[in-house]
Amino acid sequence: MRESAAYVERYLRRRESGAIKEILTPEGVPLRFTVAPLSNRIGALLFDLLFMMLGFIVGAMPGVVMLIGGFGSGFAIAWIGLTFFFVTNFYFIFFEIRRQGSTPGKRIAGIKVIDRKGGVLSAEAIFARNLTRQVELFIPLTLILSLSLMASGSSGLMPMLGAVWVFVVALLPAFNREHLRAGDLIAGTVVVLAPREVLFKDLVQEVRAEDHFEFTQEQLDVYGVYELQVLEDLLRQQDRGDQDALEVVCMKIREKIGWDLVTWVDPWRFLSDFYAAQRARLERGMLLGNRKETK
Amino acid sequence: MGELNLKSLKFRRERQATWNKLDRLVTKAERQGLASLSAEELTRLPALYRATLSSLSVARAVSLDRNAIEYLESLAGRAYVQVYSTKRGVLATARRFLRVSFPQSFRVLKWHIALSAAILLLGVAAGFFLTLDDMDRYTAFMGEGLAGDRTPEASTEQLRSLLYDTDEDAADTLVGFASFLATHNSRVAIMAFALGFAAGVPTFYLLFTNGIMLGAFTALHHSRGLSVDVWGWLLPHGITELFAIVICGGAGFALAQGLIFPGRRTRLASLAHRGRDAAKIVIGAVFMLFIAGIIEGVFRQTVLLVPVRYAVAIGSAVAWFLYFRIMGRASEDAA
Repeated sequence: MRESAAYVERYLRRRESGAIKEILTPEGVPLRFTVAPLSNRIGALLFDLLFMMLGFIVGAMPGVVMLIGGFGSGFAIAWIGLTFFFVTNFYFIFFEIRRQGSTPGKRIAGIKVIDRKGGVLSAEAIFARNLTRQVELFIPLTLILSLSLMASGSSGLMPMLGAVWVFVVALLPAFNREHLRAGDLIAGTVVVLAPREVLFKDLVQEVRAEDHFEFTQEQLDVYGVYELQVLEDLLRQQDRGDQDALEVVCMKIREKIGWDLVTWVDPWRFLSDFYAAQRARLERGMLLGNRKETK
Repeated sequence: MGELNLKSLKFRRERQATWNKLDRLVTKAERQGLASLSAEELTRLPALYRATLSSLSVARAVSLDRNAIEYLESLAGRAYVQVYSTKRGVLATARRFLRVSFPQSFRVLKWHIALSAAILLLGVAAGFFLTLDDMDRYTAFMGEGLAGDRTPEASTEQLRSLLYDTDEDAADTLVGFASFLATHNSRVAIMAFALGFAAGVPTFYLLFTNGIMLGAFTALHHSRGLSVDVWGWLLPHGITELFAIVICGGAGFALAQGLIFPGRRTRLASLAHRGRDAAKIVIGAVFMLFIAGIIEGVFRQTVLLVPVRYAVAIGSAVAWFLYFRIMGRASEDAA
């Protein structure tokens, strides 16, 4: 019983994490996006680096074949060099233009680039945010490699300062609320979650016409919107077979609103009836201009 | 249920068909790209998007069904990204970029580019005169790697033969092109831009040191009376290459200006405003470096006549001048 209550708690906390980025669409309706957490960003980057590597291997194949076959080693090396240059510099630009701010890696991680002010995501912005990757990603990587190579450390002050600066830039996303990296600052973009929510049935539809529980106004006035939506989440969890949580919550509500505690009621039926009645009550209140947030 | 009479439920029943239609279109566009939508679907998309957006506003006001509101938020967000995005394909974007955007942004940032050119020239002058003054400085300026065989110890004849060197076969000239391109110049150019983010100090440093190297290099040849020959060797591709590097430097300074002197905007908005123009000219400059690479890799080894070399140098200078002056003017007036 106690564990299920903790589960409900945990579930609710998860729903509320993540900074919200609100943009105003040209139609004047604010849209709310959730800023992509660093974990998604890093995941997307790793996938993209993997795809870049694969792309490079496939692209460089003709060069390798030529090299092995012995037709003009010079041309083969040039081919491989050019492939490397194009893949490292234009992979992100190509996909973000083609896929409206998404790359294969971003798609897997469920994130997307949008304009920070709600305008069109322009090609210029995509250029800007990806050209800086040289400084943010590839230099730190080379620096790490070269620093570990000459660990003896005969280097002077300037390289050290440079390294510090580069790492500050590279780690920038970890230190601001919207996880903007330098490229996002320059391009005026932000990376957000692009969830695909599914529209479930309205829970109210499942209330039976006759033989349902009746509640008085006083009983319905005990809770507010927050509690209502917690209840909605819980009822939608039903298919995961978490009967214990239903029991716990059902008992709590019955105590709170002064329902008869002795007779056994089916928790699912009781809670969905309560949900429907509660929602009707609160929505009516909203129309009259008073929204009751919490109990 | 009848007695509950929920407005939100009724509202949802009326609108849900629209949402489903939009969902299908957006999902298709996300999977296969906007181009996969038929003409009819493409005209319906904005209408459905606006209808759904209005549903979202209404739902926020009347409904407490959290799933429905979250669904609408996500659907509207996904549709928004599809509706307000560059409709052009990658190739069309590239074409428009070269015809219009690049020269336009160049003109917007011409003073930044002029500053960048001044710093590079200052570096060239400093490198040239300091090296003439004392040849020992040559190695200090150039570094061991870049100078190669061209050292103060080399004889005049050796230096001359390096300028008119032809014994590489065609494939190896391409190697020179590719490695030069991928390793050094484009890297430096992109870096000069991106490091503008550090208030422009590294950009200044990069431009000045590259200028000094160029100055030292020409000073060495000048001291042996090879001035005409060395410029003839450098300039056919150098005009394009140096121009590209100067442009990237200018982009770096534009970023720095956005950061340090935001004017009436907020610092972030100012950086984003400058950043977009700056990034455009950097992409253009990378394209210029490709052209320089082709000239260097193919042309320099095959054409040895000094007058022809100078003709190409002057021709490329005139071509770039006209390009940046004329291209994209028409649509600038229209806009």
